[in-house]
Amino acid sequence: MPPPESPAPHPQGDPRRTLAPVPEPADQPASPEELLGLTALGQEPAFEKLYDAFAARVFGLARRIVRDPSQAEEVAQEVFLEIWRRASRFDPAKGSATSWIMTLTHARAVDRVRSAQSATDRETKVAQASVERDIDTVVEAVESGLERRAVQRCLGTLTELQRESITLAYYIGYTYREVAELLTAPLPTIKTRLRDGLIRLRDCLGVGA
Amino acid sequence: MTSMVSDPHLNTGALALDALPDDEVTEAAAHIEGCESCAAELAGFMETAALLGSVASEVPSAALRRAVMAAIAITPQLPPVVGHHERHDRRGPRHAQPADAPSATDTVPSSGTVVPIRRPWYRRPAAFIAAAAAAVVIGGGVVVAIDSTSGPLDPQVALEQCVQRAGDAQVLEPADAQGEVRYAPSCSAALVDVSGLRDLPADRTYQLWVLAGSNARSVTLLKLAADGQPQAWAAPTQTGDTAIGITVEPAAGSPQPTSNPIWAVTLPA
Repeated sequence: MPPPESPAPHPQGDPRRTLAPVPEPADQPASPEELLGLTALGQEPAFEKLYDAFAARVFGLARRIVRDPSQAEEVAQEVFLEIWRRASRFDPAKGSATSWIMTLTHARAVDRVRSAQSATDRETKVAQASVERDIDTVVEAVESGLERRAVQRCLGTLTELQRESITLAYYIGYTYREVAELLTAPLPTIKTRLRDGLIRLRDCLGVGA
Repeated sequence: MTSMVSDPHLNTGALALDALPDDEVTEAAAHIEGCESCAAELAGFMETAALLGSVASEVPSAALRRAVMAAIAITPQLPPVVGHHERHDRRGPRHAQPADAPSATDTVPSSGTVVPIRRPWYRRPAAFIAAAAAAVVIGGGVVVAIDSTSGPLDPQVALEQCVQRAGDAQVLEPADAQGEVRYAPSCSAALVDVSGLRDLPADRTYQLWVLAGSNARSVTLLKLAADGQPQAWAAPTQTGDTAIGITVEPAAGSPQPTSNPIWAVTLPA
């Protein structure tokens, strides 16, 4: 680990030297994008701030999907290590830092549940799962904070089938085929529901495309 | 063939939610690559999904913070993808840009159409090419060596964790391309991280190989992420392995390399 003031010498010449000068540490909170940019320069304090800003979201989402707290911690640790390693690859033109981090978290958590279970196990689990309870749990978790309230309100604008499909796919990590099996719906119908539901959520939450 | 069941434009939702099975992801990503409105929709969906993810917040233990900070203190960072922003800022269709990845017609790509590799692909390149041409089957035709997982811990995760923690890990980089190999002989594994690979036509794939002299062992087909995204894989290695490389192969992969590598790193003896 190089010290913060001399980030990672690179055999091909350090491309980071071409980046903008490092701003002085300031008291006002930096945006996640700024923190990622500083993390890419090897600045551990910026990474620590990033960790503090995202730890609950990363761990919470991992926990929601993998369920087991110690496995969720492992997933969260993998995610933060990957954030550290790949910070230079983040491209703000392609999306927000929050999206980048949460996408990474979701993918790692889903990888974990999918690899932990053989196809047969999963089929059994799908058959036995209590859809209603899983969905209720999610809705209960949406209880405080402006963002949470907004998400809850917007989930409420979906049709029941859209909400079920999105919830099963996102919070439990089912593939759309598994969702189709569980809800006994044709495959294209589920794809359409996921997409239509996301369009409605996106517009309701005011997310810019 | 699963794509017949639906319009490819509909995949954005499932993709943003990680709900597309692996066997559909490559095709969906290839479609979105060539569909600007799909790409924009996917980006918006991913922002939306991030908000869905945020509502599950739960504060982790302080031990996690300590573990993460201890881990990053000994973990090197990847360099940025050079030319990344330049490529992104140019608004034209990606396919019209100078090819730095092989196209479908490049079964034997010339050096002008692939990521150039000035360093020898491995210690005995002539032997490698001879072996490939003669189709000497070393790996018994096994294309994807580590694909099925049944244990509680994914072998990929186990290998990756081992390499990340290994005291003997060395970071090796290709001479003239993005990415790195983190090689840990004590784990019998190398963590391969490739960046800047371009999307390939649907009938082509990137294939990862471990070389021992003139013998090539297939490790896996590298699934495509979106444009230029890093591809990572933990490859099992053995004593005597000399190089790790990537070739462009037909979509189902090949038992032995059929073209020159577009990316390669030599392993230390």
